[in-house]
Amino acid sequence: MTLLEVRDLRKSYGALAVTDGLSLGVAECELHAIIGPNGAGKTTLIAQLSGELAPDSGTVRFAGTDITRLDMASRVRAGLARSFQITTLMPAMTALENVALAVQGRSGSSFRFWRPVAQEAALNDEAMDCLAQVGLADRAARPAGAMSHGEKRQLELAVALACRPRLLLLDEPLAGTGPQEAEVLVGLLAGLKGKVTMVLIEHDMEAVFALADRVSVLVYGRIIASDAPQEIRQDPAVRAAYLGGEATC
Amino acid sequence: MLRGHGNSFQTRSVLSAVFSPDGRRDLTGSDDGTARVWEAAVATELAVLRGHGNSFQTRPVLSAVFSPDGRRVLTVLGGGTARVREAATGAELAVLRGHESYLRSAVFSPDGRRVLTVLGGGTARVREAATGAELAVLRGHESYLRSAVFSPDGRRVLTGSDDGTVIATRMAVFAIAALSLDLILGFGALVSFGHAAYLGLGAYAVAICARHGVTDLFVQMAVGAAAAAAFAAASGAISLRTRGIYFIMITLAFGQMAYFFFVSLSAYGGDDGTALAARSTLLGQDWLENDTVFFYVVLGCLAATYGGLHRLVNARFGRVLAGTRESELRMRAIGYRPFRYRLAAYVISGMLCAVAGVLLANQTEYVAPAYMAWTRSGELIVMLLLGGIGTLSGALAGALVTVGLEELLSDYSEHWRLAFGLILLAVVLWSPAGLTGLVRRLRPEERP
Repeated sequence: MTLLEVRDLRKSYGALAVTDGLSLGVAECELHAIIGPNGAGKTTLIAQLSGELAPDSGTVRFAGTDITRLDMASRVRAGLARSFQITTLMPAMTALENVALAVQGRSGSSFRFWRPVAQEAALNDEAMDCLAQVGLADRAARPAGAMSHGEKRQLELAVALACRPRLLLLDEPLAGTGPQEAEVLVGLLAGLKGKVTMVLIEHDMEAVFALADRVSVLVYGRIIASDAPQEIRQDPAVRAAYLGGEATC
Repeated sequence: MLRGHGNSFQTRSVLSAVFSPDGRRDLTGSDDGTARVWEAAVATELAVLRGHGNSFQTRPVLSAVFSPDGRRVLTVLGGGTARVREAATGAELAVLRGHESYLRSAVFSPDGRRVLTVLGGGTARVREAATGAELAVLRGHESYLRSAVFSPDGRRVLTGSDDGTVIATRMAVFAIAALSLDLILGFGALVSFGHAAYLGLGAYAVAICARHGVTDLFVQMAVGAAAAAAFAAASGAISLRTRGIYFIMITLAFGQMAYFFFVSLSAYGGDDGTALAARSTLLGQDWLENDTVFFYVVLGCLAATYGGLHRLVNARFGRVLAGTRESELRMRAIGYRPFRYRLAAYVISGMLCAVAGVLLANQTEYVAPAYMAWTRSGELIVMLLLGGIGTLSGALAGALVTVGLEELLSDYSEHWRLAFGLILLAVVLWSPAGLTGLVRRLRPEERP
């Protein structure tokens, strides 16, 4: 079943068509990687899928519903969460607070003025589960701003998971990480496979081909190929446009 | 009408005006440094008393009074001297110097032979009018002397001063206002430059309610808070769509709108404001007329505000508000719409500040548009800067220290703001987290 269906999406900045008639289908439970050279429009695509940016035309359907005109908050509530290429956390809050705030966003009203939120066991327990899932259980009390870069990337993932998404949009989760940190994150993503549908944008080809069930290649704002990883590797159009005829990675 | 203070470029303010004892002449003092004697009936200028000041700077004439026989004039300058002059010619008869602090007022004794001066430092002096010789120094005022007058027989002097209770009350009132601003500025990162408008709305709620026979303090608070909520909801719905410098400018514009609305409200004194006939009542009783009782009521309001805000910022709402301060994009990415939380905080903050305004009007027993001037909004921000932005204890400390310094420094000089500015600069440079940040740094054992 197709969970996310993008049809003829277009977005231009003046004469520059950043998204140029893009169509894409993401099946439930698959990890769908989107690769493409710099400037292909990957981050603009994520922004339009998450609701940060409104497309000029085209439709985005999620779980059978048209979500093209919904704002970011509504999409999150519908089950579409994202992580950011540039770490976007609350630096002054602890790791636990960062995640608990995401849990709070989908459990009950936030117009509560009296009861101390730090003592809400339901929020904290669920937040701890998410932290444990990304291997940060022992970092719960540390302010996000004081964490290492790799830990921040893990926390990004925990915050997104705390939204209990049906579809997770991952915008370069490995950005800026060293080899060891990347290894941890790839392991985490592999563990999530099958539990949650993921759209992964990533420059690290080794990670992409290790993780993806399906790979789409984005060039100049449109998908030029979409297939299983091994087929993509062989695709002459892809090799010409993107892999540049190099030997396989 | 008595015109003629000023020139073609600029009209100068008339700072004081009195009749001569026989009622036939007027005496006006102006900030152009002159005092003028006028014939009251036809407004003919009889004499101009010049020579106040020097070629570099004109000193304003703060007050000017006739002697009881109407032949001499006593002028007080913005500075430390008073002068006795002949009313008819303006000739200088005596200069009263040697005041270690600035002069607030000066009056003749009923027989016209002595002069009573009041200084900023809390002392009053009796001097000989003819020579300026000092006859007596009246000390022992524990604070801020406001005025002094002779008894009709000239043998006794009555002084009026603020006492500690009045200052403590002011501290508590401004602490409530600073706490309310801290909710949006400190916890929501919304730098409002029009927050004094809510202080004014609360103050005018007292004046307007009292005029219509509603004198109960809590009813007035409810009216003030309701007016503030309406103004905050309307102005916030517009201003909260902007960020940064635009938000500052729009809140400033709304603050000025409120200011000029009340300036034009002539039924309540317009620019001059209006004095309250009495303080508000509690359960129909005039208990608040007692300064001590009033202080404890204000202290109770402060405790309730502090306690309530402490709960709020640690509750779900407070965490969301802090989240919008940290990263608006992240908040939207986990399913929040920051605008509604910001607007709610903005309205709550305005309502609390209106409560402070109700108390301020009662403390001064006077209501004027000056309460909502943009400089007052700036003072509230300065309190937070001094105490430490984003902590409730910082807002509290900032208000206490600011009001305290104002009382302390203004005893020494009319230019006390200069010293205050230097202190503020020192705190901001050496401890960006304000006084509470300084205290935290001095207690290293509390570091995590």
